[in-house]
Amino acid sequence: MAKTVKVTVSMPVEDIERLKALDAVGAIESVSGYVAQAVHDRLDRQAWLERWRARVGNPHPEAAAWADEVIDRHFGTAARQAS
Amino acid sequence: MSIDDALGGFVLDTSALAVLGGGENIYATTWADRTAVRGIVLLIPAAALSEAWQQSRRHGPGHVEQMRDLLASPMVLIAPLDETEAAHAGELTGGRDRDPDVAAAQVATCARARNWPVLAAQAARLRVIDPELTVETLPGMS
Repeated sequence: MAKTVKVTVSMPVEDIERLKALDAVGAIESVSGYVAQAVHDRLDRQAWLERWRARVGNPHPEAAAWADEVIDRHFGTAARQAS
Repeated sequence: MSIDDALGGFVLDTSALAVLGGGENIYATTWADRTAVRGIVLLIPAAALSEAWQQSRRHGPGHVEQMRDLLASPMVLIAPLDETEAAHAGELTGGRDRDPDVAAAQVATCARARNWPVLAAQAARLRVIDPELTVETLPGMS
């Protein structure tokens, strides 16, 4: 298990309430574990994006607009934003 | 990342994977970027990967390296061609009077099972297998 350290972060009240509700019914292992995993996943994605952009360049604005339109059409604008 | 964690995803067919994993099509390279930013899974059927890998090898080391980088994305998941998947793909093409297209059939079964759209560079092979499949086509392909 990775070494852990306790930190204080600010989050929207609504998200904390939803997290606590999930924790209360046993849907998630723990609030801390859930948040830590989400941060870990985001960091992995960011690290990969940096490697990918070093290889192929930054996203082209016209192509990014097309990609976003396709994603929105199938999954809505609620798709998680990572940057 | 697992399928259960995903908000949604696209299944890549051989033609899309070959373009994303090699070459300089800005729509393809940007697609991999934007889906990672937005947390969208790219599901790659093993049979399509095998075909696309063959094409990358043909085009040289640069394409192979780009394919390896693409596959390293935390948003990329590989759908194995195990006994169940192989049977489903075979069922889909069963009884039709043409050569089997395992890669296209596995793409179709993966998309159907999750109700996800497919990203293709050329959709013709998929249309033969399943005309009802939801397919998005990469622009910039002639």
